[in-house]
Amino acid sequence: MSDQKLNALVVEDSPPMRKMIVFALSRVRELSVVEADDGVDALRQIANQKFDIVITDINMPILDGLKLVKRLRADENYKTVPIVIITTEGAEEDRQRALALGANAYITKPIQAPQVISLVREILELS
Amino acid sequence: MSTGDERAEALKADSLKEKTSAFLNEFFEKGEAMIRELIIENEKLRKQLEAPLPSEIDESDPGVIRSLVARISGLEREIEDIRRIAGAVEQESGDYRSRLDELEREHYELACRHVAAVQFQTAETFEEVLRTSTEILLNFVGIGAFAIYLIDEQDQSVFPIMREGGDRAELPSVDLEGLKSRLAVLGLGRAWTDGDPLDPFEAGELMTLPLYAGSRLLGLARLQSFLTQKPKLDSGDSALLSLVSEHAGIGIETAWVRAHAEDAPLVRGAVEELVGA
Repeated sequence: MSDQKLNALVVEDSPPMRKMIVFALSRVRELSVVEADDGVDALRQIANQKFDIVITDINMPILDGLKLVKRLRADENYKTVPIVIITTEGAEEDRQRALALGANAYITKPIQAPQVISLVREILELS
Repeated sequence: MSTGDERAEALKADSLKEKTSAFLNEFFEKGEAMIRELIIENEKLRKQLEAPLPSEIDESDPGVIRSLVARISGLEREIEDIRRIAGAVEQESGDYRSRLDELEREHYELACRHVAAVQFQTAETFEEVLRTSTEILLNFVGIGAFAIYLIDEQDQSVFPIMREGGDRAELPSVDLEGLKSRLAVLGLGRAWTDGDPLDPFEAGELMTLPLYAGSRLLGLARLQSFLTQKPKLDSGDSALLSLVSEHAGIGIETAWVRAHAEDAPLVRGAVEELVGA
């Protein structure tokens, strides 16, 4: 089995929330986690390296999560990269809109670390 | 957060790490012991099965029949023993799994509290304290609609300073004494903890969280309703609410002092006078 870690990008403008998601993902040994504090910062990070999974909030200033999903899906390199939305928006139409734009999964806050970990493991097909 | 609190948190984290380590060691030792037991039982059973049967069975010889019946009974007892051991292993395994899940959950809740406390500690302005309070109540606890009020200590009124899930302008100021007579939590004299009254601000709302700096009441958080996906408070929520009750108050007091303090260089003489050195 390769020792090469998979790269995860966490996009969240709330510092405590971002820290908790990073904390949860740090329990997944196969992942190396990079943080971005909004959609624009995320695009900057993406320009620097390739990510194997993107976890993003929706409500962020300048470039929100849904616009980020749209931009990523328009990029040849990110057409099939898994995107997970973590958000306070609990309405079904918000979920449907995110999935229609190309997100793979949609989790509502408040989150629990085991929930995030098992979802990421499932999406990346990790044992 | 005070140094004492930080130490306590660090000790608690160390203790949890030690407990986790001890638990894992015990788990693997017990697992190994059970597997050894299973192997021994398995060997016994195999030896019995490998024992040569007589090439011809004299059905008329009662001794042969008795010996066969005894062997069958022995084998049945062995099977029961193995089933019992396997059942015990499964049961222990299940118990350890649920204990591990419990420890993981506790670990995450502790991490949430640590992150929240650090955020409050680093907040220097009113805006930062209010933003941190909002993020914790909304994202960590799952309160979808709430308002934070501060106390005007001169005219003894309580006025809204921010609101999530509604328009702040719709909320009027309220007389403090009148409010205190309705809401026992405003007379606690300390931060709210699990077991204290909830005292919703208005009927149908969730609770009122007093914001204290020590014994000084500085304001309150009026928690109105959960996010739609959050049905009720979870096991870790009370600790987070308690943290907000204490640290938001301290943050507000600190921000107030900072906003009014004059810049003064750190000078040995003044410091020694303050510490009584």
